[in-house]
Amino acid sequence: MKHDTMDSPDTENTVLSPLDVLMQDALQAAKEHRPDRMLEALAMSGFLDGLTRRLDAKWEQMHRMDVEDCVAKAVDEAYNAISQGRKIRNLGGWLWKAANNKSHDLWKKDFEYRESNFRDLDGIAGANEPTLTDEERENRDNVDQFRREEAIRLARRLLPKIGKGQVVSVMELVIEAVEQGVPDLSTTDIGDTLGISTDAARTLLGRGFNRLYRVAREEGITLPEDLENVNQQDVE
Amino acid sequence: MSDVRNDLKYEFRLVVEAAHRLSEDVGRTVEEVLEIGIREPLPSSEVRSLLNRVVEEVRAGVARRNDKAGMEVLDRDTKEFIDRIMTLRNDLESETVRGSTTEKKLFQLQDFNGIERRAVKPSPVFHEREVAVNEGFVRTRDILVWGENERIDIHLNQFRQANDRLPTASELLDIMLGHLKLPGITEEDQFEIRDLARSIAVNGIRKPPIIDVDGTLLDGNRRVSACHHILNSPDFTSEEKQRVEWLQVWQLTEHATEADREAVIVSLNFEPDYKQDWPAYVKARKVHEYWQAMLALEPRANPNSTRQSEMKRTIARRFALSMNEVNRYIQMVDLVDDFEDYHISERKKDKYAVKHCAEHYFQYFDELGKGKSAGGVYWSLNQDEAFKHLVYDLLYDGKFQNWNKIRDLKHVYQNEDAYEYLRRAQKETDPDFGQELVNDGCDLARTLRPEKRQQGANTRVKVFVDWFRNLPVRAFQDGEPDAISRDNLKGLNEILQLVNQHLNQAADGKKV
Repeated sequence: MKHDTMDSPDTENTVLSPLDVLMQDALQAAKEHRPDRMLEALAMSGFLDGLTRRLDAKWEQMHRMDVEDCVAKAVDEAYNAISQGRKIRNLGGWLWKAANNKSHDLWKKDFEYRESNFRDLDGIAGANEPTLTDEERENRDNVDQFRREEAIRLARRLLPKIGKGQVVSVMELVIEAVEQGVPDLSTTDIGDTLGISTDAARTLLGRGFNRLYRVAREEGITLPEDLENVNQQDVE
Repeated sequence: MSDVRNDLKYEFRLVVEAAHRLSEDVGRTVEEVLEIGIREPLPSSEVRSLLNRVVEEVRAGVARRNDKAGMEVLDRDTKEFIDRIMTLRNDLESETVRGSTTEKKLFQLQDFNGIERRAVKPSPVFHEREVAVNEGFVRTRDILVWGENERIDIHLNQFRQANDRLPTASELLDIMLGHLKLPGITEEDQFEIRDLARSIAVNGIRKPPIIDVDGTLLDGNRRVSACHHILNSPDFTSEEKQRVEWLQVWQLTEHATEADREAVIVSLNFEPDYKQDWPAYVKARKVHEYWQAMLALEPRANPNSTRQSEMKRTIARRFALSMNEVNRYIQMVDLVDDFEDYHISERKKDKYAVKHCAEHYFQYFDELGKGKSAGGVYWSLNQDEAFKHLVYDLLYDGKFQNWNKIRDLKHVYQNEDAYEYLRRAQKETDPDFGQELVNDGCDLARTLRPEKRQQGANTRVKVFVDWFRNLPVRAFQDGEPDAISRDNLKGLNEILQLVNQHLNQAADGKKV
């Protein structure tokens, strides 16, 4: 049975399931600066169990402790965002995206770094253990941060080329969210912010991505095919 | 410089990926996360480890941000805090187990298109039991295929063995649709969901699926799967998708007992409803009539193949058939018309007797229409009107024992001896003997066809030669028991002369 997400208009006529109630409780507890009650509700709902298992299955080569780290950081971020007054409609979606992004970043940074540094040492005992020092990690993070800022600047520079009006506004919102490290920006959020319907936001988002791919290609940047295809389907 | 540019391009790709991830719709994933969490909670030791890590992280976070309220409530004994949560989880689990048998969460029916929810009166009877139900609408996407359906029990166990878990709702749907390949299942669409989907896309759902108080699907797994297929497949128009976006269902009331549920399941899955489909002949006739009507409206008497395909696609949609079925029906009825015309006009048979016969043997016309290229059944029939009429006579008289014999007609046509058997069968008044003659003719044609004769020639000759060499001399002496007759010796002699000719020709060929 479908479990309706919180604050969704669909829930108005539907009796909430105990799970939905627990997720609502977690959201409310965070608003009231009660991280203990938020954790309690999340643990009771089984959402943390499901989240851990789902991430485990998706990032199957990642160690369970790293998965737990990602879940823990996602919960902390969610608590922080809600307690600071950010409106989160769908706590489940927010936690999933945050934890999944963290897993993604961790995989990209630590694992790829380790692979490239120790590729030549394959077969040597202990060579595959991560050995980044704090200083190395900090240096790398600074370089990453710089590159990220430049890439976002490039994305912003391309936005006027994708068109005018709402499609640009939608993509500006998305780029801003990436810059701020916000894990979840649903089409409902976009619609609410820009005063347009969710359907319109979804269409504009798909169109915006497509045009961004096109102008990126014109700039000599080819994006992964699967990403373009996924978005093509969204538009259709 | 070029490294910097490449780095920037790479980072830009990451930014777009991140943008895509943050704005993607994860509603389905969240549902799955919740389902997995309920179905497969982590073992206690793993929950403790996870909660420890989460509490540590949040505690460090609130301290870093100087969130005094947060710090205050988390500044307690972590172990005690986690112990309390574990106790609450255990209590909830036992309550859920108890609750699952006594109380179910209410899944609310909706009004739709001005049609209000209502109690179905009089209450329907399932397996001799009157069961109160309400009628209303639900969004199709809110109903999930039922995982406890006995129909897919083997599939579920097979999946569990391979994956060490039960399938998610979307995987269940994939099993029903045959998208998820499981060893031992060869059919593409084992549950025939695609055919059903075509029908539903045209007609909608005629018989409402039945759901439990909590929305669990009790009856209608195939129908609901077909609706999901329509919604997800690009093969259906937006109008057809719209038709199945909301489903009219019957729902048990909160007073329903386990016996009521059992009665519904037994009644709808074990008791036949005695519904009889139209015979294929009748359906094909309808399709053919529609085809003829469409042809009559065309500006050209013989539309080109692209136009014909379009027209057939329209028919397929209208009658909820596949394109193959439409093609097959049209061709079969063309042949049936020819068959009926021959018997009614030339043989002066009773019109309705002929039609009954055509309906009875309708599937044979499928075989008669196959093989249009040279040497095929259809081709053979159209080479010789007399042969075709002979076949029509045999069919009318019931002298083909089964449709397999139709396939042999292409060999019969090429073999005068076999043809003769069929002529004798045509004249034969005893139907059983007539059938035997047709069988003999078909067997003869099959065994004497060139490729069959050639098959295994070397082995046969070798076996015969070996056997012949070992024959005792007395086998050639007249008067000895089992001696070789003079006729057979003459036959052998003829063959030897033929063999000699072949050997000489081969030798000449070599010299050249």
